[in-house]
Amino acid sequence: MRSIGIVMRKDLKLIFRDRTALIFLFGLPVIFALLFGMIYRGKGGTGALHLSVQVTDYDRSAESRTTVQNMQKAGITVHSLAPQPGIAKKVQHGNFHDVLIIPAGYGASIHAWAHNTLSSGASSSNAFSKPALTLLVDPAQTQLEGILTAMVNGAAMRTASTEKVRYLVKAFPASRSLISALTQQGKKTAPFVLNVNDKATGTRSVKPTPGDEQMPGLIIYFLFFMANSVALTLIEERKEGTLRRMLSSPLSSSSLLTGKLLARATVGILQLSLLILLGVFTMHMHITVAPFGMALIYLLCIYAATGMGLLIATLGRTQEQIQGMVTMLLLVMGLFSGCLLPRVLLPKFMRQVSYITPHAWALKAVDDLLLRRLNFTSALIPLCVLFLFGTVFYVLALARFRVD
Amino acid sequence: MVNPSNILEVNDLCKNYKERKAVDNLTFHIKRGEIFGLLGPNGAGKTTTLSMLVGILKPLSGTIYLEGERFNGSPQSRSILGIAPQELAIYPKLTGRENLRFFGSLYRLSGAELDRRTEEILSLVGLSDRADNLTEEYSGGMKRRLNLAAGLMHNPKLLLLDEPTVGIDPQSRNHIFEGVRRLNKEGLSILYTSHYMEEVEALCHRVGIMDGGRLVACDTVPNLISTAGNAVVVVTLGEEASDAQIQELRSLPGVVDIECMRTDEPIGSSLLRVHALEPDRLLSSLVSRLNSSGLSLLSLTVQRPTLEDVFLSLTGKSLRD
Repeated sequence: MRSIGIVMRKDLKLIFRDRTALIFLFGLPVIFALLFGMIYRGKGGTGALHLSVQVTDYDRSAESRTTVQNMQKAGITVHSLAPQPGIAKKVQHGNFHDVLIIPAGYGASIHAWAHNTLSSGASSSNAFSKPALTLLVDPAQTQLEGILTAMVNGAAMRTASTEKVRYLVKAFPASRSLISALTQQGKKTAPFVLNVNDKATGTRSVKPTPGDEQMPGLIIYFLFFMANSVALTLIEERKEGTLRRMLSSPLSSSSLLTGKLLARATVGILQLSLLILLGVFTMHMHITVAPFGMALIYLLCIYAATGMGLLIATLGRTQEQIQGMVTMLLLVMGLFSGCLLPRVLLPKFMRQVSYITPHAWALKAVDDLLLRRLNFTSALIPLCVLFLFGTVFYVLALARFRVD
Repeated sequence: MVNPSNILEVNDLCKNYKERKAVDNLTFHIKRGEIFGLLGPNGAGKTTTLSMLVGILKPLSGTIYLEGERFNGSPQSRSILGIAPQELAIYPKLTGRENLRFFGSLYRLSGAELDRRTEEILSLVGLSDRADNLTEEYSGGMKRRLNLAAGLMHNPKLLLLDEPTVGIDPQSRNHIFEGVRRLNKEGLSILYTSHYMEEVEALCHRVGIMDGGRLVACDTVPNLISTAGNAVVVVTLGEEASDAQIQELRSLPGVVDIECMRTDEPIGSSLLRVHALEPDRLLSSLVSRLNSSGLSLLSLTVQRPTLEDVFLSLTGKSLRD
C-alpha cells in the first residue's frame, strides 16, 4: 500500500506541475460546460430551446399585439424591431437570425378571414385571402426555421380563432353561453404549443433541467478522456526509461499500475466535481436526484476509462500513435454515443450500434436514474455492462502489458 | 557450484525477440569489487542482458546468481542491484532532490534515513547546489549525473550502468568516471556497458565483448589486446623507399614484417608499417638505419592495438558499424 501511495503522490505532483496537461484536464471541460450552459440556459420546458425573434409590426393593431403575446406565451423571446429598409438582405447576411414581419392590414385580414369563413362556410374558406405573416430566417440557421414557423403559425391561428369566436357569438346569439364557456376554457388552457407528454413523467416531483439533460453527457465524455492521460503517462514513462527503473526496484508492477491509475482517478474525481458544480450553477443540474446511483455511474466511467487508457498504451508504441488513436476514438465515441449530440438525431441502426461504446451504457443509466427517475434496480443492467467494459479493458491490457 | 567471490554469475542466458536471438547463451561472472565492462555495438544485446539481470525481462533459458543466490526477482534480490538506464530515467517536472527521494522511497527508504541518503548522494554527484531546481532546467551532464545518483540511493552492492556517458560533454564524462572509480574503491561492484572502447579500457578490470547476442571474448584489457597482435611502428618517409632499402630495414633484429605503401600527403611520400616483437626497443636502431640509408624521416609513431582492433579481429567488423 505504501508503494502505491508513493507512485500516486509522484504522479499527482507531475500532473499538477504540467500546465498544458492542466489546461486539457480542467480548462477544456470548463469551457465546454460554460458554452453548453449558455446554449441551454433556463430552467426547463421550452427554455431548453432558446428561441427569440425580432418582430417588425407595420400593422400596430390589437390583432398584431395579440399574436405577439401568443408567441411570448409559447416561450419565444420577442424583440421589437423598428421598420427598416433592406431587412431581408440583413437577415440573409446574418445581421439578424430571424425577423417576423407583420404587414399593414394584418388585423383587417384576420377580421375578413374570420367573417368570410363563417358567412361562406368552411369549405370555401380558401377563396378568401388569409392573414399573411412573413418570417425571414438566416440561411445559416435553417434548423430553427421549422420550429419557428410552426410556433408563429400557432400564435397567429390562436389570434384568428379568438376573432372567429367573437363572430360566432354575434352570428349565433342563442349559443352565446356555450361559446362563452368554451372561450373561457380556451383562455385557461396552455397556448398552442407542443407539450411534453407528462404521462410518462408523472412520478417525478422535479422536472429535468437542461443541465440534467446535457451535463451528464459532457461529464461522461470528459471522464473518458482520462484514457488519453493514462495511455500517455505510460508511454512517456516507457520512453523516458523511468518505467524500467521503477520496475527494476522492489516495486511490483501491480503496485506501479495501481498507483498511477489511482492518481488519474483522483484527477478524474476533481474534474467530475468541477463539472458538476458548473452544471449546477450554469445549467441548474439536479444533484439530489439519485445521488448514489449517479456517483456510481461516474465512478464506473472512471474505472472503464482508466482500463481503456491502459489498453491503448499497450496497443500504441509512440506518443504520436497514441494521441492520434485516442483523439479519434474518443471523439467518435462521444458523438456516436450521444454524449455531445442527442442520439435521437442518429439513424435507428446507428443508435443500436452506439451501444458498443461504454459511453452509451453510461448515458442509458443516467437517462434511467436522472431523467426517467426510475429506481436503482432498473439501471443495474447498464451499470453492470459499464463494469464489464472496464474489466475487459483491464484484463486485455494486463495480458498485453510489456515494459519494452 | 557458485563461487562466493563472485557477486554475479550468469550462465547460458538466452532471450529471443520473435525469431531473432537477442541474447545467445551468455555466460560471464563479476567478482566482488570489480568493474566489469560489457562492450559491443548497438544491438549487441547489452541492454537486453541488463533487463534480464534486473528482472524486467524473463530469460528464455539460463540462470542468474546474485550474491550466491538464484535471482528470483524478489524485493530483497532487487535491492542488491542499482541501475542507471541508458535513457535519462528521471522526471523533468520534479526537482533533483524530489527525484532522488522518489526513487529512494521505492527501495523502502524513509524518514531521516531517506533525508541523509539524499544529501549524501547529491553531494557525491556534485548536485547539492542545484538540488531544488526542476531537472528540466539541468544541463545534459547534470541529468546524467542525477540518473547515476538515482541508482545509488539504496546503497546497492552491484551497480549496472547502461551507456552512462551517451551525449554528454567531456567535463561531465570525467565527473562520472571519477564517481565510478570512487564508488568502486569504496567496494561497489560495477557492470559497465558501453560501445565506447576508450571508456571500457580506461575503467574496467575485465571486459566481455558482445556481438549479435553472444559473448565473443572475455578477459582483462591487456590480455584481450594481446590477442590482436603487437604494436606497429608507422613511419612516414619523404620519398619512396627502394626494395633494397626495405630489405635493409627488414634485417634489423626484432622486425617481423614491413608493409610499404605510397601516400600523397605530402606528395611523393611513402608509409612504412613496421611489425616488431618489441617496437619500443626497435625505435633507436630503426631511426639510425633510416638515416644511414639516406631516407628522410618525416614522422614516426607507435600504434598499439586497441579493443577496437580486438573487436575487428574477432568479428570482422568495426565497433561503430
